[in-house]
Amino acid sequence: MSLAKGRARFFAGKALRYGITLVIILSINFAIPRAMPGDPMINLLGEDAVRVDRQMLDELRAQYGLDRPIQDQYIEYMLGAGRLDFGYSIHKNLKVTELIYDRFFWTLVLIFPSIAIGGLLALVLGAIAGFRQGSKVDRLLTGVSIFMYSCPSFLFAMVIVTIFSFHLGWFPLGNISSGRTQGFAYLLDIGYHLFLPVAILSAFEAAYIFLIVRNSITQIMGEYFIFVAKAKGLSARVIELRHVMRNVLPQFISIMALNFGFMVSGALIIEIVFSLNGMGTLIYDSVMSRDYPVLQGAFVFLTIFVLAANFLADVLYGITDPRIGDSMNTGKMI
Amino acid sequence: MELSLPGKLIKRLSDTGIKSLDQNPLRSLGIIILTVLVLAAVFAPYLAPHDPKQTGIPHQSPSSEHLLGTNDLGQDVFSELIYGTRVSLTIGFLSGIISIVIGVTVGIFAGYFRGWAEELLMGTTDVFLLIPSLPLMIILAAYLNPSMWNIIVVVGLLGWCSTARLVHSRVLQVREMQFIESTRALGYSDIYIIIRHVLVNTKDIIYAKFSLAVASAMLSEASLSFLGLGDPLNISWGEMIHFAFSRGGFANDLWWWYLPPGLMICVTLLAFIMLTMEGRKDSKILELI
Amino acid sequence: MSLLKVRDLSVTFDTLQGPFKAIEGIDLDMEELDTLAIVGESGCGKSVLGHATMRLLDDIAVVRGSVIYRGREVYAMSQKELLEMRGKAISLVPQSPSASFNPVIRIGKQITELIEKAGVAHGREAEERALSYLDYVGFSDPHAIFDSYPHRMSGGMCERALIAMSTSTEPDLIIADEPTKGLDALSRKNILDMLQRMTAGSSLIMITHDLKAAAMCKRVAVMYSGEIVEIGPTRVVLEHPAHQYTRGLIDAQPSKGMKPIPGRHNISHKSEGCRFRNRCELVQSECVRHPLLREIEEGHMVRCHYA
Ligand SMILES: Nc1ncnc2c1ncn2[C@@H]1O[C@H](COP(=O)(O)OP(=O)(O)OP(=O)(O)O)[C@@H](O)[C@H]1O
Ligand SMILES: [Mg+2]
Repeated sequence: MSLAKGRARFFAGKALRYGITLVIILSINFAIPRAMPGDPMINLLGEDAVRVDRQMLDELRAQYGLDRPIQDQYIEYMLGAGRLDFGYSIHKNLKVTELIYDRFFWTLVLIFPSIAIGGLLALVLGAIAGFRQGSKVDRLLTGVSIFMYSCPSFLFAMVIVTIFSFHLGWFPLGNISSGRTQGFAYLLDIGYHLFLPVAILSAFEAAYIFLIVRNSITQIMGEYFIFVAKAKGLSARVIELRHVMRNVLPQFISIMALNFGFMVSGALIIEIVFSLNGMGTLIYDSVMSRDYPVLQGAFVFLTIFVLAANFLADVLYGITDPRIGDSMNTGKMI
Repeated sequence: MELSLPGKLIKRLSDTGIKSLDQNPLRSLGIIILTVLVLAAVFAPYLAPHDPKQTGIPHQSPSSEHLLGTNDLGQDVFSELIYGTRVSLTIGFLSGIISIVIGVTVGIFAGYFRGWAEELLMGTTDVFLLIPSLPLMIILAAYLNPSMWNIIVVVGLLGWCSTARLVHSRVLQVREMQFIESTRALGYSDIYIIIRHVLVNTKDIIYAKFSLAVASAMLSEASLSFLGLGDPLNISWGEMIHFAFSRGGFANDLWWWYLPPGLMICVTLLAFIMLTMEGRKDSKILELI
Repeated sequence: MSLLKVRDLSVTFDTLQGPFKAIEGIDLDMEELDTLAIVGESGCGKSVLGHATMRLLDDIAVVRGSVIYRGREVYAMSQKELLEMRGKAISLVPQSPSASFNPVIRIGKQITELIEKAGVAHGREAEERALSYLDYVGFSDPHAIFDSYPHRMSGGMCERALIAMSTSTEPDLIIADEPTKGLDALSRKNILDMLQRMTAGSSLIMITHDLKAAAMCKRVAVMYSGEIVEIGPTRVVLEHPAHQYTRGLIDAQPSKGMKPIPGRHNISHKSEGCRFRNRCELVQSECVRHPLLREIEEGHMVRCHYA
């Protein structure tokens, strides 16, 4: 079978897997409020449900189909999910989807630069440390990374805010922009407001990925083909850049993807510390008011986002590693 | 000079202690830190200078009377910190145990029996690995009563995936070993082989992974508590930070209120990570994370 | 001037269990267009000798003695000279063909990069050269091999590609480490014929377990436990072996009924005296003294008191 055809099959298999995963996650989300202790009505509508009048409650009850059998409810729910409809927040008086759209954008604005910067930083620092294993730089970088790994993101963010915003007053707090400017100045203003959060999130991403990249380099440096490259008289630079880093790439991509969920969690926490208007603060408020529909909607949105990112990464992985999806793959399992 | 028997024993113990300290300074440091923390947790009532629930003059900065000052209700932060050790360590340990038991079971069964069991178990693991765990924990914790036990269950039930993966791939290797085949040929039961051979050959990574599982459970707990989902009756370090954050300690720069519990979390996590370090190398942890 | 002169070469590995002497007191001379086979049991230090010749051992290896290539001491070369020498002057055909290629780089690219590095040709011309060498080693469709990734190739195919790569720079000396390992009889013969053809313009050191393969070289050196125990013209050594170990190796061949050498090859047995004496049927009192390599006839040297 041709390489292209094998690839296509590989990607189709992946797509199927992600599809199944999505259905499972939506089902979990369907099951949780119905399985949890307490009044399912409140579990579905949030604690503010006790405040609304009977008539509206009945309407909502009908809408959720709570008086109908469970399989009808499930179908109804899935159809709603297909339209990205996750119900209504009584607390905020808004449809959950609308509420999320607005906030989700800003979370993405926080996450994407952090992933790009953190990943790049990890690749560069990981290479520096990995190729100088045991050196001072290596030990310093590894030590810092392990420290970051064991430091809760909110603590780190709180300390940074205390120093740079409270004491030094270099950076603002609490908004995404000053809201007065337009055009390019507006973008600059956003950059200024997001500088610290992005820096912190990047640092967390970099610390974790760094450890993986460094480890992966160590492992690849021990491979026999690296010895052969040396025997060919290739310079250390060529070996490191062409032979080692090229092999790190697939692993790097897949670990970046697996770390996406972690980044989402980190972004939520950091938004809360900086009181930025994103998904994190939305979730925080909803926890406080036990606004369950919003919590559920947020969960599904974030999960779909992570799934999509992982699917993309799998495709990239397949492209960077020639062994993937090749039916003539003789030895090593991927 | 002849030493008496207890003398010899003490000498021997201290010798091995010094030897391991010398060969593996980081792990020894981790053990020391954790021992101190466990002692603090056990003897909290004797160590804490004040009753952490007793209120007084709020917002006092650190003094000899209140080593780490007081919070907005005038409670002694230092005493709260010592009692918090109990809560944080208990949650971490118990959640860690739950997640390691599930993870090891799933990993071993999938790796040992292969076939559809492997497909199903590892497929499920992959699904769970894709779900961003914090949002899911938040939902579950939000539905349940805010109690320590609920947090333990929620964190434990969602933290097993990486263990399952790790154990699974190790079991696949162990399975290939010659003696496993021959033991099977001798007609021993699967359970016997799993316990006597497979488990024995995976126990090193299980120990190390347990240590890291406790660390990551403590981190999850801290995040949940920071979001206000903690147990108001058993205040953990993470929850102390939550109160400092939501009741003005952070905005008013009362560092003694939120920084000490934060540092305690860092130090404890570092100690657990140090436990997994072998010799002067650090490669182990990098494989496990 | 001889091409390669190895004098009193020894390599000690600094292992966790203490120092380990892999090879000791090796002397070798190679002329232009010379061919030498090195035979001996697994673990006797053949590969270590080959790698030490190219100064390819890593830091835990302590190397003593000297390796002189065309009058220049390899262990005194600058990093630049060393990189120039490897692959261009002395070329290695490594031991594990399937693990020798980088899995994510196409075969053609890996050959071309050596040709370009050696300065033999560049760009398109280098690619053409790589293609023609793939053709020389007997691939029916060199273009397909050029474009394929290593995981698609069998061990034998990798071996061919490796030989194409190592010879593509027309090196003065080729060190081929077990080129016939793990191949069936027919492919073994094919590879050997091809190797002989490909290395016609170079000197060759062929490391092998296979005495048949050794027969294609002018001389053969027999190694035991890190030492050369017998060296001489191939015909002489194989037909009139002087060392008991060489006799054992010859008798252990499949064609001779695979009669095993008694005892076990104890690689860490580095005591005083003849290292083979615990397995030698002819052992006598003198054997507790370490024998020197001595010439028993023109070009034929043996490390045995009684040969
Ligand atoms: N990097 C190393 N560190 C420690 N010991 C080594 C190292 N490389 C080789 N050795 C030891 O040196 C000895 C000789 O190894 P070598 O690879 O030269 O054997 P060989 O004769 O090529 O065997 P084979 O026929 O199996 O390839 C072996 O006992 C091996 O254990
Ligand atoms: Mg060898």
